[in-house]
Amino acid sequence: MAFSEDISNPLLMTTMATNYLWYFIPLLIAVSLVYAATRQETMPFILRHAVRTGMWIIIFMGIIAVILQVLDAFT
Amino acid sequence: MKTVSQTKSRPTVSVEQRGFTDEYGNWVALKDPWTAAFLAWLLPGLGHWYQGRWAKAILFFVCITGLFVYGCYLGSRRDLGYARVVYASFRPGDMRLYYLCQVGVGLPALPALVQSARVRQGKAPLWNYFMAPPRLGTDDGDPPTLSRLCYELHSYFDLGSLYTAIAGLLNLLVVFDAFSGPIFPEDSARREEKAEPRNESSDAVPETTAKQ
Repeated sequence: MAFSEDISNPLLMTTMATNYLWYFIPLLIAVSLVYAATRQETMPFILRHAVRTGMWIIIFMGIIAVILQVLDAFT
Repeated sequence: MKTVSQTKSRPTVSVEQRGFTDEYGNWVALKDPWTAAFLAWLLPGLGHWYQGRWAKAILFFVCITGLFVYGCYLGSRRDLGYARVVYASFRPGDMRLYYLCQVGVGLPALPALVQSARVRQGKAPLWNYFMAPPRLGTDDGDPPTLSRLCYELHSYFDLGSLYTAIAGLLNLLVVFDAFSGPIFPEDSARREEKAEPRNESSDAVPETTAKQ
Protein backbone atom coordinates (compact mmCIF):
# COMPACT_ATOMS: atom_id res chain seq x y z
CA MET A 1 0.00 0.00 0.00
CA ALA A 2 2.98 2.27 -0.25
CA PHE A 3 2.80 5.24 -2.54
CA SER A 4 5.72 7.18 -3.89
CA GLU A 5 6.24 10.55 -2.28
CA ASP A 6 7.23 12.03 -5.64
CA ILE A 7 3.97 13.30 -7.08
CA SER A 8 5.61 15.97 -9.20
CA ASN A 9 6.49 13.51 -11.98
CA PRO A 10 3.64 13.56 -14.56
CA LEU A 11 4.67 10.20 -16.06
CA LEU A 12 4.53 8.60 -12.64
CA MET A 13 1.12 10.14 -12.02
CA THR A 14 -0.17 8.71 -15.32
CA THR A 15 1.06 5.24 -14.35
CA MET A 16 -0.63 5.52 -10.97
CA ALA A 17 -3.90 6.57 -12.60
CA THR A 18 -3.73 3.56 -14.93
CA ASN A 19 -3.05 1.28 -12.00
CA TYR A 20 -6.23 2.46 -10.35
CA LEU A 21 -8.21 0.91 -13.20
CA TRP A 22 -7.47 -2.51 -11.70
CA TYR A 23 -9.72 -1.58 -8.81
CA PHE A 24 -12.53 -1.20 -11.31
CA ILE A 25 -12.58 -4.91 -12.17
CA PRO A 26 -13.93 -6.36 -8.87
CA LEU A 27 -16.53 -3.61 -8.80
CA LEU A 28 -17.56 -4.33 -12.37
CA ILE A 29 -17.94 -8.05 -11.71
CA ALA A 30 -19.84 -7.64 -8.46
CA VAL A 31 -22.15 -4.90 -9.72
CA SER A 32 -22.92 -6.78 -12.96
CA LEU A 33 -23.67 -10.05 -11.19
CA VAL A 34 -25.79 -8.55 -8.43
CA TYR A 35 -27.71 -6.31 -10.81
CA ALA A 36 -28.34 -9.22 -13.17
CA ALA A 37 -29.44 -11.43 -10.29
CA THR A 38 -32.08 -8.91 -9.32
CA ARG A 39 -33.44 -9.06 -12.87
CA GLN A 40 -33.35 -12.84 -13.45
CA GLU A 41 -33.89 -15.93 -11.32
CA THR A 42 -31.89 -18.84 -12.72
CA MET A 43 -28.12 -18.94 -13.12
CA PRO A 44 -27.78 -19.23 -16.93
CA PHE A 45 -30.01 -16.20 -17.39
CA ILE A 46 -28.20 -14.32 -14.63
CA LEU A 47 -24.79 -14.93 -16.21
CA ARG A 48 -26.00 -13.91 -19.66
CA HIS A 49 -27.55 -10.76 -18.25
CA ALA A 50 -24.40 -10.02 -16.21
CA VAL A 51 -22.20 -10.22 -19.32
CA ARG A 52 -24.52 -7.79 -21.13
CA THR A 53 -24.55 -5.43 -18.14
CA GLY A 54 -20.77 -5.60 -17.79
CA MET A 55 -20.27 -4.80 -21.46
CA TRP A 56 -22.72 -1.93 -21.22
CA ILE A 57 -20.84 -0.47 -18.23
CA ILE A 58 -17.45 -0.81 -19.97
CA ILE A 59 -18.74 0.84 -23.14
CA PHE A 60 -20.44 3.62 -21.19
CA MET A 61 -17.32 4.35 -19.15
CA GLY A 62 -15.17 4.12 -22.28
CA ILE A 63 -17.31 6.77 -23.96
CA ILE A 64 -16.98 9.00 -20.90
CA ALA A 65 -13.20 8.47 -20.92
CA VAL A 66 -12.99 9.38 -24.61
CA ILE A 67 -15.05 12.52 -24.04
CA LEU A 68 -12.78 13.55 -21.16
CA GLN A 69 -9.68 12.89 -23.25
CA VAL A 70 -11.06 14.98 -26.11
CA LEU A 71 -11.97 17.80 -23.75
CA ASP A 72 -8.52 17.57 -22.20
CA ALA A 73 -6.86 17.77 -25.62
CA PHE A 74 -8.68 21.00 -26.47
CA THR A 75 -8.16 22.75 -23.16
CA MET B 1 -52.47 -13.41 -2.94
CA LYS B 2 -54.97 -16.18 -2.34
CA THR B 3 -56.64 -17.30 0.83
CA VAL B 4 -57.58 -20.96 1.03
CA SER B 5 -60.12 -21.90 3.71
CA GLN B 6 -60.10 -25.46 4.96
CA THR B 7 -63.23 -27.58 5.45
CA LYS B 8 -65.12 -27.63 8.74
CA SER B 9 -63.50 -30.89 9.87
CA ARG B 10 -60.26 -29.00 10.37
CA PRO B 11 -59.73 -25.54 11.76
CA THR B 12 -59.82 -22.75 9.24
CA VAL B 13 -56.31 -22.01 8.07
CA SER B 14 -55.33 -19.09 5.94
CA VAL B 15 -52.60 -20.01 3.54
CA GLU B 16 -51.05 -17.02 1.89
CA GLN B 17 -48.43 -17.67 -0.69
CA ARG B 18 -46.58 -15.02 -2.55
CA GLY B 19 -44.20 -15.89 -5.30
CA PHE B 20 -43.52 -15.93 -9.00
CA THR B 21 -42.62 -18.26 -11.85
CA ASP B 22 -38.99 -18.36 -12.93
CA GLU B 23 -37.68 -18.48 -16.49
CA TYR B 24 -38.49 -22.21 -16.77
CA GLY B 25 -42.02 -21.83 -15.42
CA ASN B 26 -41.22 -23.21 -11.95
CA TRP B 27 -43.05 -21.69 -9.02
CA VAL B 28 -40.77 -19.89 -6.55
CA ALA B 29 -42.40 -19.13 -3.20
CA LEU B 30 -41.26 -16.01 -1.38
CA LYS B 31 -42.41 -17.42 2.00
CA ASP B 32 -42.79 -14.48 4.37
CA PRO B 33 -41.45 -11.55 2.33
CA TRP B 34 -40.94 -9.27 5.33
CA THR B 35 -38.83 -11.87 7.14
CA ALA B 36 -36.91 -12.54 3.94
CA ALA B 37 -36.27 -8.83 3.41
CA PHE B 38 -35.06 -8.40 6.98
CA LEU B 39 -32.75 -11.41 6.72
CA ALA B 40 -31.48 -10.16 3.36
CA TRP B 41 -30.56 -6.86 4.97
CA LEU B 42 -29.03 -8.53 8.02
CA LEU B 43 -26.59 -10.59 5.96
CA PRO B 44 -26.37 -10.50 2.16
CA GLY B 45 -27.92 -13.68 0.78
CA LEU B 46 -29.51 -14.83 4.04
CA GLY B 47 -33.00 -13.84 2.90
CA HIS B 48 -32.64 -15.87 -0.29
CA TRP B 49 -31.28 -18.81 1.69
CA TYR B 50 -34.40 -18.64 3.86
CA GLN B 51 -36.53 -18.75 0.70
CA GLY B 52 -34.61 -21.72 -0.69
CA ARG B 53 -33.04 -19.73 -3.53
CA TRP B 54 -29.60 -21.19 -2.83
CA ALA B 55 -27.70 -20.13 -5.94
CA LYS B 56 -28.68 -16.52 -5.62
CA ALA B 57 -28.00 -16.59 -1.89
CA ILE B 58 -24.43 -17.73 -2.49
CA LEU B 59 -23.94 -15.26 -5.33
CA PHE B 60 -25.16 -12.32 -3.24
CA PHE B 61 -23.13 -13.35 -0.22
CA VAL B 62 -19.90 -13.75 -2.18
CA CYS B 63 -20.26 -10.58 -4.26
CA ILE B 64 -21.53 -8.16 -1.63
CA THR B 65 -19.66 -9.45 1.40
CA GLY B 66 -16.56 -9.78 -0.76
CA LEU B 67 -16.81 -6.14 -1.86
CA PHE B 68 -17.40 -5.02 1.71
CA VAL B 69 -14.52 -7.02 3.17
CA TYR B 70 -12.15 -5.90 0.42
CA GLY B 71 -13.13 -2.27 1.03
CA CYS B 72 -12.44 -2.75 4.75
CA TYR B 73 -9.08 -4.29 3.89
CA LEU B 74 -8.16 -1.27 1.77
CA GLY B 75 -9.01 0.98 4.69
CA SER B 76 -6.95 -0.95 7.22
CA ARG B 77 -3.42 -0.63 8.51
CA ARG B 78 -1.93 -2.18 11.59
CA ASP B 79 -0.85 1.10 13.17
CA LEU B 80 -4.02 3.02 12.24
CA GLY B 81 -6.59 0.34 13.01
CA TYR B 82 -8.78 -1.92 10.94
CA ALA B 83 -11.70 -1.06 8.65
CA ARG B 84 -11.26 2.65 9.33
CA VAL B 85 -13.35 3.48 6.23
CA VAL B 86 -16.53 2.19 7.90
CA TYR B 87 -17.55 4.31 10.85
CA ALA B 88 -20.66 6.08 12.09
CA SER B 89 -20.07 9.70 12.91
CA PHE B 90 -22.59 12.49 12.72
CA ARG B 91 -20.66 15.06 14.72
CA PRO B 92 -20.12 18.65 13.64
CA GLY B 93 -17.01 18.60 11.49
CA ASP B 94 -17.27 14.91 10.66
CA MET B 95 -20.58 13.98 9.05
CA ARG B 96 -19.96 10.51 7.67
CA LEU B 97 -22.79 10.24 5.13
CA TYR B 98 -21.05 7.25 3.54
CA TYR B 99 -22.24 5.23 6.52
CA LEU B 100 -25.86 5.65 5.42
CA CYS B 101 -24.92 3.62 2.34
CA GLN B 102 -22.58 1.23 4.16
CA VAL B 103 -25.19 0.24 6.73
CA GLY B 104 -27.21 -1.25 3.86
CA VAL B 105 -24.95 -4.28 4.13
CA GLY B 106 -26.44 -5.01 7.57
CA LEU B 107 -24.67 -6.90 10.33
CA PRO B 108 -21.11 -6.48 8.98
CA ALA B 109 -21.45 -2.68 9.33
CA LEU B 110 -23.10 -2.65 12.75
CA PRO B 111 -19.90 -2.73 14.88
CA ALA B 112 -19.48 0.88 13.76
CA LEU B 113 -22.57 1.81 15.79
CA VAL B 114 -21.11 0.16 18.89
CA GLN B 115 -17.84 2.03 18.46
CA SER B 116 -19.66 5.27 17.83
CA ALA B 117 -21.72 4.85 20.99
CA ARG B 118 -18.57 4.15 23.03
CA VAL B 119 -16.84 7.24 21.67
CA ARG B 120 -19.91 9.38 22.47
CA GLN B 121 -19.82 8.09 26.05
CA GLY B 122 -16.13 8.98 26.32
CA LYS B 123 -14.95 5.36 26.39
CA ALA B 124 -12.05 4.00 24.34
CA PRO B 125 -13.01 2.08 21.16
CA LEU B 126 -12.63 -1.69 21.17
CA TRP B 127 -10.73 -4.10 18.94
CA ASN B 128 -7.81 -1.88 17.87
CA TYR B 129 -10.10 0.91 16.58
CA PHE B 130 -11.98 -1.47 14.28
CA MET B 131 -14.68 0.68 12.60
CA ALA B 132 -14.12 3.39 15.19
CA PRO B 133 -14.76 7.03 14.32
CA PRO B 134 -11.57 9.07 14.04
CA ARG B 135 -10.63 11.47 16.80
CA LEU B 136 -11.63 15.09 16.37
CA GLY B 137 -9.01 17.75 16.98
CA THR B 138 -5.45 18.41 15.92
CA ASP B 139 -3.35 15.91 14.01
CA ASP B 140 -0.77 15.25 16.70
CA GLY B 141 -0.99 12.16 18.89
CA ASP B 142 -3.17 9.07 18.84
CA PRO B 143 -5.71 7.90 17.87
CA PRO B 144 -5.51 9.33 14.35
CA THR B 145 -7.80 12.09 13.14
CA LEU B 146 -9.72 11.94 9.88
CA SER B 147 -7.18 14.09 8.06
CA ARG B 148 -4.37 11.80 9.23
CA LEU B 149 -6.30 8.72 8.12
CA CYS B 150 -6.79 10.28 4.68
CA TYR B 151 -3.12 11.24 4.51
CA GLU B 152 -1.77 7.88 5.68
CA LEU B 153 -4.14 5.67 3.72
CA HIS B 154 -3.91 7.99 0.72
CA SER B 155 -6.45 7.14 -1.99
CA TYR B 156 -7.13 3.77 -0.38
CA PHE B 157 -9.31 5.63 2.08
CA ASP B 158 -11.56 6.79 -0.78
CA LEU B 159 -11.40 3.44 -2.57
CA GLY B 160 -12.31 1.57 0.61
CA SER B 161 -15.16 3.99 1.30
CA LEU B 162 -16.43 3.53 -2.23
CA TYR B 163 -16.26 -0.27 -2.16
CA THR B 164 -18.09 -0.52 1.15
CA ALA B 165 -20.71 2.06 0.18
CA ILE B 166 -21.43 0.28 -3.12
CA ALA B 167 -21.71 -3.02 -1.26
CA GLY B 168 -24.35 -1.47 1.00
CA LEU B 169 -26.28 0.01 -1.91
CA LEU B 170 -26.20 -3.27 -3.84
CA ASN B 171 -27.62 -5.03 -0.82
CA LEU B 172 -30.66 -2.75 -0.99
CA LEU B 173 -31.39 -4.22 -4.43
CA VAL B 174 -31.02 -7.66 -2.87
CA VAL B 175 -33.48 -6.77 -0.09
CA PHE B 176 -35.99 -5.74 -2.73
CA ASP B 177 -35.40 -8.98 -4.65
CA ALA B 178 -35.98 -11.03 -1.48
CA PHE B 179 -39.17 -9.14 -0.76
CA SER B 180 -40.84 -9.23 -4.14
CA GLY B 181 -38.78 -11.37 -6.50
CA PRO B 182 -36.75 -10.34 -9.52
CA ILE B 183 -37.83 -7.73 -12.02
CA PHE B 184 -37.85 -9.70 -15.24
CA PRO B 185 -36.98 -7.23 -17.97
CA GLU B 186 -38.06 -8.57 -21.33
CA ASP B 187 -40.92 -10.98 -20.94
CA SER B 188 -42.78 -9.68 -17.92
CA ALA B 189 -45.89 -9.06 -20.00
CA ARG B 190 -45.75 -12.56 -21.50
CA ARG B 191 -45.21 -14.04 -18.03
CA GLU B 192 -48.32 -12.29 -16.70
CA GLU B 193 -50.37 -13.61 -19.58
CA LYS B 194 -49.20 -17.17 -18.89
CA ALA B 195 -49.90 -16.83 -15.18
CA GLU B 196 -53.49 -15.65 -15.49
CA PRO B 197 -55.12 -18.97 -16.55
CA ARG B 198 -53.55 -20.70 -13.52
CA ASN B 199 -55.27 -18.29 -11.18
CA GLU B 200 -58.65 -18.71 -12.76
CA SER B 201 -58.51 -22.50 -12.84
CA SER B 202 -57.96 -23.15 -9.14
CA ASP B 203 -58.25 -21.31 -5.86
CA ALA B 204 -55.36 -23.26 -4.37
CA VAL B 205 -52.85 -21.96 -6.88
CA PRO B 206 -51.22 -18.81 -5.62
CA GLU B 207 -51.32 -15.63 -7.59
CA THR B 208 -48.19 -15.24 -9.68
CA THR B 209 -48.17 -11.59 -10.53
CA ALA B 210 -47.61 -10.14 -7.09
CA LYS B 211 -43.98 -9.28 -7.66
CA GLN B 212 -44.44 -7.69 -11.07
